[in-house]
Amino acid sequence: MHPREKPRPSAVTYIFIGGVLTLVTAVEVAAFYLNVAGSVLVPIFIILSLLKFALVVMFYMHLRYDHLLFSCFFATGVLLAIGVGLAFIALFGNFDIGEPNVMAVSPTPTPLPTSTPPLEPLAGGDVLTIGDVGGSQVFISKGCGACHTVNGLAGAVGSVGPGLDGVATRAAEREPGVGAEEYIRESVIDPGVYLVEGYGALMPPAIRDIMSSEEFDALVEFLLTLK
Amino acid sequence: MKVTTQEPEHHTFTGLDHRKLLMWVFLGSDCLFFGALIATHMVNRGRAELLHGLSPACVLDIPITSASTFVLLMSSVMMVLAVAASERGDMRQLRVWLFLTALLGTIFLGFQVYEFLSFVHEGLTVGTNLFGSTFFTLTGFHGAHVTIGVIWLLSLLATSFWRADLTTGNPLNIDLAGLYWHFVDIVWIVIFTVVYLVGVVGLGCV
Repeated sequence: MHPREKPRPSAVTYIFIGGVLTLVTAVEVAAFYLNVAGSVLVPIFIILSLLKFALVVMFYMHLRYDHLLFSCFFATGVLLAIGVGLAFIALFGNFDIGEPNVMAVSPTPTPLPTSTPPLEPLAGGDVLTIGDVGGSQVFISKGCGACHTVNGLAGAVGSVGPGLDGVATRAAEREPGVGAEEYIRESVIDPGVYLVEGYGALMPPAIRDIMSSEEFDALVEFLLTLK
Repeated sequence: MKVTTQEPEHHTFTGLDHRKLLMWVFLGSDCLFFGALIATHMVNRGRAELLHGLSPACVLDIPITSASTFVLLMSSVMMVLAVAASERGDMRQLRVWLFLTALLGTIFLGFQVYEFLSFVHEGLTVGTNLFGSTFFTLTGFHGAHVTIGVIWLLSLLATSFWRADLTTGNPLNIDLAGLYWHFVDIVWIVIFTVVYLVGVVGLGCV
């Protein structure tokens, strides 16, 4: 045996740990059915899972008894995975534990929807259209919803950029000398020109180029209704 | 030279067996693989266009999945006893534990197949919505890992009768299979918690 390694535990230890793992799983499932509050339950689940993870890795995979080098390689992988995963979730996640932030629709005949999601009626009346292009439809189809929220608009769930409820009012007042429409147009043509404090310059720079003039006008008209 | 799971067959720079080091590096990389799939599932949790009756709270069956989780957990216990038996040189015990591990693994796969079929029957497929896509991709790849593990264990079992001196005679070979098997188990622990338990917290069937 390598001088830095320790002898393995006995079969009794293994079975005991197996018992502990079963018990912890039973506790998790019981807690789930006891209707404990989500904000309490989720941390409990995470902690218990980490415990099971650690027990299996340390004892069953005997990292505790083996050379540190194995642990280093494995830990690197685990930490990288957790780090990247958390970063991804923090950037694009939407955690409404409680209300499902989705719109339930009737099942459609084709499993893969090829059109944009059906529109919700917004506060203030009908969706504005210029020609056949609905502004809120442009908003969703060009991916704006991935980073901005609009109350009542399905798919507008992102929190990367500022929420756009009331943007029309803010646009009129934020920059002296710049009217609401000009502010909004500029913010799409040159993203980050009027950067809001607390947000990074993350809006795609060429986003105006992925839509036609008609679509852009409809989008701006739509945003101007968000007072 | 006594061959154990903690001593390399040939002289190495680190004093550690190369295949064991490789297995740990591989498992570290597999963490990234599953981490990506799990993160993608979590990110899309709130934004899948959900059809009536096909939200996580409606389709996911916690009692049955708890049972399959327990089965996989027990298979890890069997596995570690198999490794212990091989270190003792007890071939008969080794075969028994290897068989039981593979059996429980197959039972787990049976649960997964049943679950997948019942979801498809209810209308949730990999192409239905974001929930279906991320769920089936994640658990499908995990199931594939388990399948590979079962095949590995059964082939160890088979060669223990035929050419044990090449394979099961060396405890390290059982140990390597054990590391892979335990890893697959802990990935499932994470999936069960994140997808099933956390994934349904606070949500009702819509």
